[in-house]
Amino acid sequence: MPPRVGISRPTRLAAVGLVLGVGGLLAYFYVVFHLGAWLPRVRNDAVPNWLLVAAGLFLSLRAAMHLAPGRRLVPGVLIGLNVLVAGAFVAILYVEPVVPLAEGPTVGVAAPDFALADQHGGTVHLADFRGAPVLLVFYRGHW
Amino acid sequence: MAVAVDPVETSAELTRTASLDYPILSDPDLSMIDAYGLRHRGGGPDGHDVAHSASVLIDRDGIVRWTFVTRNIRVRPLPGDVLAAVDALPGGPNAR
Repeated sequence: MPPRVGISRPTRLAAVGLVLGVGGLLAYFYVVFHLGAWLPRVRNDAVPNWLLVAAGLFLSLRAAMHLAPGRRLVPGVLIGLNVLVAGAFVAILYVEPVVPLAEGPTVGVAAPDFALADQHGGTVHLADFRGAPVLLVFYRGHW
Repeated sequence: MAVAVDPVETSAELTRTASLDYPILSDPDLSMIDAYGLRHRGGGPDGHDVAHSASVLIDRDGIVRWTFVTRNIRVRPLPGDVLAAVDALPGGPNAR
């Protein structure tokens, strides 16, 4: 049997680590766009995605510890890419979506009345709903 | 009900594509959004003002009983938390 040539152990570790990192990031987008209504905790906290990204970084670290002289380029690139993916994951979840603090209405006070057009062109007054609870969901818009 | 700065036409389109059956209110001049303290200056994709992502539960007497305002727009109130707030309303969720 010929000796096995080619892919070194650090390269394999780094490649699997990169796959885990990219998988954690892409899976988060899938949750947001397709499964958010069914997995609201994953959408908010992304714990499974964190575990995938962390496992990927762990494998990258293991790969970095076993780099052999002269065979550093490919695993090094894979490790660097995985660090970039992990950085993008953090930025997408915790940097880019952060907005200034807003107080919102005070609990215990009367909700301001309003008269606004609904999607059918009718006018909706808050006072129309007196006698029933109302949940107002403010959203940033559809774009 | 949902509230956004979008024009009525956008809300009507969203109602069709997402099969929504509750009112979607348009507040293009943000007058109601301001009354609720939820204007996010420059928060829109082209720099226009939009509403903060928030939920406000109002009881049958028109009193604010629960709010959720996020600093991270990815994060939404958990359905269980909203339902618990509804259950905690004075007189129960369906009292009249």
